[in-house]
Amino acid sequence: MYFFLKVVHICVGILAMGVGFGLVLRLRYASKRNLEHFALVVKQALLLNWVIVVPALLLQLLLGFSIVGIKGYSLHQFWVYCTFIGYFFLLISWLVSNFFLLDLYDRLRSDNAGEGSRREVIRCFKHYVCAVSVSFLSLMFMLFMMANRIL
Amino acid sequence: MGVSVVVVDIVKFLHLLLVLGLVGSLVASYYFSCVSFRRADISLKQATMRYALMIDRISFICMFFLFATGSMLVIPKGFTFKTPWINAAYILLTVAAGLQVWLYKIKQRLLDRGQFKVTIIMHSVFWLTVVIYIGIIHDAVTKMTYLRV
Repeated sequence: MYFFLKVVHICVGILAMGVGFGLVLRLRYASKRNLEHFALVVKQALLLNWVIVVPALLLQLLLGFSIVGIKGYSLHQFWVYCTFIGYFFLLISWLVSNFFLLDLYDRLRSDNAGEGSRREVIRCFKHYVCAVSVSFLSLMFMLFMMANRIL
Repeated sequence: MGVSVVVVDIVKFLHLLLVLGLVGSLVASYYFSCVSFRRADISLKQATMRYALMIDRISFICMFFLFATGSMLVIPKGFTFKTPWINAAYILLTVAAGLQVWLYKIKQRLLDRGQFKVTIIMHSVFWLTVVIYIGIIHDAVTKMTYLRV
């Protein structure tokens, strides 16, 4: 049961953050092209986010608690404690990044696609990238703690 | 904690990060290809195909580093290169790399011809690659393999 949960935990982790990474690359690539394409890609990214990435992130918490319970790790162990803190930073920053993405989509949907509008879109995209960077830093911290079970 | 232990910890962390980035970005690339190729807009399809090829190139680099970091972890973690699941992981990763190169060639040919679609071969190769990665993860977690060499 433990091994099964651990394999599922890793696969769901790939769906959550690995796909998230691919999604950010796609948005970065599309942001250099015209706004019409960018709007389409943002729409596709939002769908992927809400249908796969966010549910996978929530499932990760459930799987994490199950594994901790089965293996009998204490929640007060340093690495378990740090992993959960990292997880909450990741979840919050990812949700914040999603709201920036929604804002970006709203701006892209509006009709005025002039130079001023493009600047606004790029500024909004930069906010999104900042929030996503916090997510990835949290992910790295969590992954380091989980992989090596420090202390 | 010795310096070598810290180095092994960092290598293990990088190994996991590479797996996450490699498989996840392949899944994302597949998703974007499937949804974009249904649309009529040719330039969007072209851009998506170029993105998929870029992801493939990144995945080749990730695979190289996965081989390297994986090999660096074998001895410090108390295994040998004759351990069955490690042998199986090398073989499976080589097969996955071969399939990935094949998929890259197919995409490159489709881009050159201006044909933007996800063919049955592309679907099959993608899902086969995913199954192989799940197999490698399973073997690494359970430290055993069903693949007898």
